[in-house]
Formats: sequence, C-alpha cells, structure tokens
Amino acid sequence: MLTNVPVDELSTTFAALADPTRREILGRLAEGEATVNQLAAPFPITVQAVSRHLKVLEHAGLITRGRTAQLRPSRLEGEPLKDAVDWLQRYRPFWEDSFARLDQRLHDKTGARTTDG
Amino acid sequence: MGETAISSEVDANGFTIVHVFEASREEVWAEWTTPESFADWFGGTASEVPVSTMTMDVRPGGAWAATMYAGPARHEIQWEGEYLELLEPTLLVLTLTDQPGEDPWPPITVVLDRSGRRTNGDALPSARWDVAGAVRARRRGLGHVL
Repeated sequence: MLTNVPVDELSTTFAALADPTRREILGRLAEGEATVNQLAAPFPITVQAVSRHLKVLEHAGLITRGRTAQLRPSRLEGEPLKDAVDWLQRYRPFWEDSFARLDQRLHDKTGARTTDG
Repeated sequence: MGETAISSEVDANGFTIVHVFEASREEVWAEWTTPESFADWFGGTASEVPVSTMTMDVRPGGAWAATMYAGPARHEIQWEGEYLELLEPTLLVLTLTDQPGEDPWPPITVVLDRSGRRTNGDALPSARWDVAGAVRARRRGLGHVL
C-alpha cells in the first residue's frame, strides 16, 4: 500500500541521490572503485567539492572508502541503493493502474470522436 | 479495445513502464497537465482525487498537489510534487511524494514519442522512475526523440 512506507530509513539515501553530480559519481563507481582524483576528472568542479560529495554518499552508506591514507579509493555499496529501488518498485502497480485508467479515458474520447468505430 | 501495447520493466535503478495510447502526444500531454484530467486517472479506478483538491503550476519549478482517497476505506493521502522539466509535448520530469515535508523522492521522467505502431495512435509514452539514473534516463529519452 501507499502508507507506512519506510521513508525515514530511505530519506538519507534519497537526499544523497538528489544531486546529479552524486548520481554521476555513483555511475562511475558502478564500473569499479576509484580515487578522488579519478572521480573529479570528468567534472568542472574542484577535488574538494568532489570530496564533500563523497562524504555525503559515505554517510548515506552508498559508498565505502579505503583506509589507505593517500588514495582512499571509493567503492559502491549496493545494499542501500537496492533498498531504495525495492521501495520504489512498490509503486509500480500504482502507475500501471493509473495508465490503465488513462488508456480508458483516451479510448473513450477517441470513440466519441469517431462514432462510426 | 485490446490494441494497447504495455510493457513494464524493472532494472537495477528503478522501473520503466511503456504504454501505447490511441491518441496524439498532445492529447496525452494534456492528460498530464490538466487538473480535471489528471485527477481522474491518477491512482487508477481504485482511488478518487476530487478536482477541487488538485492544484497545478505547470512550469519548471512549479508545484502540484492533490488529495487522494484510496481504496474501499478511502484512506486520505496528500500528494505533492514539483515539475522539473517541461518540453511540450515530449518530455515531462516531475517529483511526487505522499510524505509532504520529507525529502523529495526521485523524479519520474515521462517521455512521449511516436514509436507506437498503431494506425491511429502515435503516442508511446514511457514513464521511467529511476532511483539513481534519472539524469541519464532523461538524456536517453531526449536522444530517442530528437
């Protein structure tokens, strides 16, 4: 149902995902772990700014970072993302029902327009 | 009827519903952006949205809101969201949530194109709800249209 969804557990994940740069970073990490410098390369922003994004992602549990002092490569953690996707998919039947009704509306309009069938 | 092609697909980031309608893109666009129409189909037949509760400010950054009475118990749900991108009659990106005041949910990308194969219908909207890849989905959608 649409009620009692565990939004509280997911709000940190969604807030972290709300930023397009962070989504791009996650996309890059889906291909394999990377250092801050590697992650910063495609963006017109500073390494410091990328570091701040990584902190948000780390706080949300979406990534983990290595302990090697200098490089600290970031790694994608699939579980929070999977939880978010699982939650989202609970709304799929809602949209399927909605489009079925939309279909009916448009069909009725077409029928009314071309009464000869 | 029976002329409608529907597919509903789950992937790693969310889901995509593709639906062919016997209508023009302009007609489908109007269904999304006219309060009287949207209130009627949003939530399907199991839910009621009184038109009087529906507000729409259809422009980038504009808000929308609706009160829904869902299911036989008519459970009251407050919906709200924001329009992020509008490119009539092709692209509509919007957010929605039934938890007003909480962090917004990931946006839904609606793409209306003309790859439907029906003789009368030329709209094939795909609605994509994608947790992580909304931006990439948007680019893909536009690339498909242009």
